[in-house]
Amino acid sequence: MTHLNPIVLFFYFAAAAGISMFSMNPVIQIFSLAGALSFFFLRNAGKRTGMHLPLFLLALLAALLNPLFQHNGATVLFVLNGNPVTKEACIYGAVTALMLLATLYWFRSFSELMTSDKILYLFGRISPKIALLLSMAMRYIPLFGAQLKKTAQTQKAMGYFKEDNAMDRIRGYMRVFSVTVTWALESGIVTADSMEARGYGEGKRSSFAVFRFYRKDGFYLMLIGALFLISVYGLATEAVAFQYYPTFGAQAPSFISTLTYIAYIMLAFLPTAAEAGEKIKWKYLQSKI
Amino acid sequence: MHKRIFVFLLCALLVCASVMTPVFADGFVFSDVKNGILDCELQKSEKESVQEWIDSVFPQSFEGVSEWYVLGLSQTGEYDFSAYARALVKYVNEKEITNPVTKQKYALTLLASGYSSDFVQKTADECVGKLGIMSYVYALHLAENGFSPKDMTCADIVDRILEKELDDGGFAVTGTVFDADVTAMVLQALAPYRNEESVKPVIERALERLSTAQTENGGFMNYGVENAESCAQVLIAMSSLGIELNDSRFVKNEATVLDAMLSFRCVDGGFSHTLGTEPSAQATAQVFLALCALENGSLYQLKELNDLSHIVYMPQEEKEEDSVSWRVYAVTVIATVSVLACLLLLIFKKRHYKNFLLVLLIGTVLCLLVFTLDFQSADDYYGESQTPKENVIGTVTLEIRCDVLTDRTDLSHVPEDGVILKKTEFEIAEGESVFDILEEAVRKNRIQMEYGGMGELIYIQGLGYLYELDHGDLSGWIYLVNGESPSVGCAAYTLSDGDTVVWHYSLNQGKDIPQE
Repeated sequence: MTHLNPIVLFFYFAAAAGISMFSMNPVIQIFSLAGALSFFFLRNAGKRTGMHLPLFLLALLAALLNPLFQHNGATVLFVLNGNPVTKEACIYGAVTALMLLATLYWFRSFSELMTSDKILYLFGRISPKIALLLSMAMRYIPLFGAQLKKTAQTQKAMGYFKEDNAMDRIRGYMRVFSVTVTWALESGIVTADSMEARGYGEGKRSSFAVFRFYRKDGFYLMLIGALFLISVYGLATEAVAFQYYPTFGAQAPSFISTLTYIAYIMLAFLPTAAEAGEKIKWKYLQSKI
Repeated sequence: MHKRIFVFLLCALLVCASVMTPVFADGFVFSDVKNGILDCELQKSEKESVQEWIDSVFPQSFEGVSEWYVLGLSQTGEYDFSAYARALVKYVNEKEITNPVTKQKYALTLLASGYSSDFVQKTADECVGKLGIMSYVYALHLAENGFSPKDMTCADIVDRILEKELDDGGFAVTGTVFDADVTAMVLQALAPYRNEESVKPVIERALERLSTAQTENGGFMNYGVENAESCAQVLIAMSSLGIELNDSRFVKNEATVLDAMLSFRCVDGGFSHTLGTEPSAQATAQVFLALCALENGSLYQLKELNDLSHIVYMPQEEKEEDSVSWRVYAVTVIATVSVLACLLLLIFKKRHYKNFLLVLLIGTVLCLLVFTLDFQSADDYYGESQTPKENVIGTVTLEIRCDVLTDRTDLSHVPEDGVILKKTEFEIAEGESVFDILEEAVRKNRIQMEYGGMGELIYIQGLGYLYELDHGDLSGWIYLVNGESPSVGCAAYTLSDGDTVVWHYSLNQGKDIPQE
């Protein structure tokens, strides 16, 4: 996947996450999440293990919040402080949580694959300014993490965390966060001033990229495009529409709905399959040596 | 001594039974008609067995006809009324029943189902004589079963009933016009005293009056119409007094009261109120009770038939205790987890005092959360059981409609006639707003509602699964008071007596709703 043209990559993530975001069909959400998870874990097996728990907790929170604030639905499970909590709202919340989780994992993989040079290549031709802005904004995310670590270490060196207890540590981390946010705001202004002083924005900007559009890219683009169009057709004709309120109601399975599901499943598992294929090929070639 | 009384009662019962046997031995099978009624009811409610019918339908239909069936079905002792009795106690505790006779009827039904609660004694004390003769009749039934009113004996109640006798020997609820049903029900109550000097002549006169009132078909009239219920009540009176069916006073043109009553039988096994009409639930139930009376003798002598030793007291506080107990449970869990956390901190040598302080803080916050949460079941929240209002200043009517949608959509949650709540009357207390009444209405009628905002800024987003913006950018709910749309929010509009409130679903900010 990494060797594909950025246009193909961008189009793929826009299609896979976009369909998942614009459909509230539980089947599509489940396969979207499965596809996103399998691709992410195939690339990051055993790495970055600490990031999963917060994401799942966030999804759980989203699932719980919907029934507390949405009182539509015919089946009232119980009444909490005068507010009916319904089965339909709970399920809607659960599907929303699936969607949130799937989208988050798609974007994790996206930011991993789409390095800033690829973004520059993608948007550089449309508008070099936007490309610069985007790549600088995306650079700030890892930069912020690094700065957090730096601030924490500095404060530790200053003797802030010498007493070993949870309460002081929480307060310490809050202080570190606030310090880092202040740094980020200031650094943004400083960067802008510094760039202006160096003459950025004076003349017309040009861009350069090393990416070429190979035949393989064309094949992938056509495959993704076909699957995307079929899925969008299924969504547009409401063949896979799903009603939550006041009672559940799914469209009867039809030829179009089956086709849509199959197309979306293929779309969701396309990067996993490609990645797995490459890995097998790599192992195979290695074994030959 | 007790044994002797028991033997005596047994003998009396046997004698009674042997006297009754010939009455229904000649050519007519009671159980067929009774079972016909039961089959018909089971079919209507789509239940498999009578027990299932009792357990699932009866607790849903108070103020209906189930009370008659409980009295009748409890005679045989083969059914279990525990589910019904529990539901009934809950119902009478939560709902403010204003009619004293209705209350007494519930108390009697509860005893018949084999249970008791403090409601029974309270009703016996409070309701006697509150609503004319019928409240004495039911009070006497209750007193007969051991629940006499305060400072009154059975003899006192009997005297009061005797005072109400009309000049012609009959009885009536009000006025001086004889009423067959009331007379029959008085006779049922007086039956245990039929041998007393003061009561005997009254009973004889009432029987004479009933005899002259009997029609040529053998039936009885109420409000000028010959009907099944009157026949049924007279039959119950006769059986409790031990009068045979073919007693000369109650046979007209060779037709007995039973013949007259059975003439109301319909094809499906039910009974109709008047000849040749649709079956009526009320008539069917009372006929069923009469048939039970004919088989078993007196209906209201519940002591002999129902073992009241397994009386279950279900005090009103039960519900509150319940809601306290889950909180206690939750707090216990939180406390245990906190203690465990502290232990772990000790074991792993994180013994700074602020660590323990944090655990305490989190525990306290969780406990506070537990006490602010209030769980209710859907049945407790919705339904009739709401506390009665104080200082009621009048009534208003409320209606919820979505006429503009009836032609535009075929969604299943849009009613075909556009009426979500038909025009209903509600009592209002001083200072109540449109929103207060709307909330009361949706709770009573199980209508879904969603609103945003608070205080005077409450805004109705959805009613009956219909939400604003569901049908176009300008759609939503608006309300009219006396035909005009007020310019304030529904929680800020204070209602006065006689107001008419209508909630409309509008597609165009209320411009498509005709105003006066």
